[in-house]
Amino acid sequence: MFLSSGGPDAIDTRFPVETPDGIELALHPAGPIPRALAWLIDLVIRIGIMFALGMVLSFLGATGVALLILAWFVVNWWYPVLFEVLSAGATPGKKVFGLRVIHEQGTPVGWGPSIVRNLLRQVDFLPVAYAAGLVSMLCNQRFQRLGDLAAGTLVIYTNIAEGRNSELPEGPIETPPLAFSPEEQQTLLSFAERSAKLNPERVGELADLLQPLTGETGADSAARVNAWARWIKGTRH
Amino acid sequence: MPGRLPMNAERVALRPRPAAEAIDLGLKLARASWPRLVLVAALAQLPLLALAALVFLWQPGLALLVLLWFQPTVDRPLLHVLSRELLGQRISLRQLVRERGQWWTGMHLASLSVFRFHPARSFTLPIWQLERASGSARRARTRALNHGAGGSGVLLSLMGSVFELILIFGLFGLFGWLLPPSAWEGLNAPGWIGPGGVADELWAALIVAYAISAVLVEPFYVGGGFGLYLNQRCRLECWDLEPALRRLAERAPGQRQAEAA
Repeated sequence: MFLSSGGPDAIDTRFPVETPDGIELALHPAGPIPRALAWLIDLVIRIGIMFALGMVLSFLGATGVALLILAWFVVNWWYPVLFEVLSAGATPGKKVFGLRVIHEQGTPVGWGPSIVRNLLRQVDFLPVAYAAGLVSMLCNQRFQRLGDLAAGTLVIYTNIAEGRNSELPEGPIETPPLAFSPEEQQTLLSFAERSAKLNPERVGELADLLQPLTGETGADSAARVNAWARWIKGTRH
Repeated sequence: MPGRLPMNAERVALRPRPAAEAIDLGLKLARASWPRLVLVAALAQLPLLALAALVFLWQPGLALLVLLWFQPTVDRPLLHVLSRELLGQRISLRQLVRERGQWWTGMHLASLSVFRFHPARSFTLPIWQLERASGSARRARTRALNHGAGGSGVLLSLMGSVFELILIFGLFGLFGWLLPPSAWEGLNAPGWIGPGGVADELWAALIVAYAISAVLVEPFYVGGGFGLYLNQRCRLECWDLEPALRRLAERAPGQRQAEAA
């Protein structure tokens, strides 16, 4: 997991949960902006489906109209449910924005909760255009709309890769001068990994902060930290 | 480098995030103190409403435009409160007024004129108001911080407007529900838009509905932009690591003395 600044009860977008099989997961509930945009994409797709069906069914006269009304029922009510349950928790719109519906416990969403959260769209929609859902999302720690609260579901980001450490540039390895605590080791490691993508001026500035430890300044200090970071990384494998 | 992260910025967990999640963090920061922010937004809106009321007597339609035009002014005290909230400080209304020099200036006039339609307003405001760079330094700074997040700042503005519209229509819908039919007949609502243009009543209703929705949305809009700004400083400057690095440096001398002994 990435290191983050802040106190123990700092405001965070990450929620740790323990799945029923005892696995610790960090969930990242998604806010109203990507969710509204995902909904919009799904709306366009549904309208597209209805339009295409309408073209075909218009050849069938009155029967066609009856079928079209039935089709509207299916597309409107079952489109989100079928995708959420059968397609890894994501409608096409959600997939575009890297979103996924899951149970609050972190497990894949089932038929019951998916039906509940999608039926209650009618309530979230009130009085117009999901105003109630928007207010509910902002009143809630995990951005749940009323349907999510009733069904015990969450919409999370799937594309947040945490804990995947990036590579350190090759170079000398040096044993750190002190016995650093695990957090301190993580700080040094994060700094070394992330400084590869920073502008050199800023790297020098940050490395200057560590001058009492490294005995060097600027780029030399940063090189020293990198050598320690390689050692720390080596001990972890 | 302008504004280093204070050691006591304990209120939020900072780390590099994707832009969408960074906006969410800002929303949550705003949410954590929303009653105060909504109060500040409402108080800041009052003088604008007074101005709009004056204009209304002359040109009702123009009054709405005036109210819209001066919204960037409302953002400023909100950002000031949020920037203190980041440090875990709740500032009182009295303090907010006393510290007005810190939020009233900093590209204020420009934000109401040449930059009135700045597409990523709430994301750029921290650079103007908190960092206070000017001239070419400011432009370079804006360009640097825009890297990889400018689009998200624009999207945030767009969605902020959409959410405001939703709330305006929502308020109209709510009143449509709650008012008894007899009241509606008295208001003669269907006659509000006709061949003679838009009735004054509709302009007045729009102004009130807009003011209410702005009071509710603006704190979150400013919060989202602030979240995005903080995240850019983490991504591009490792701002979040600074306090931890300082703590690490503090460990050095004591340890060396212990070794010497």
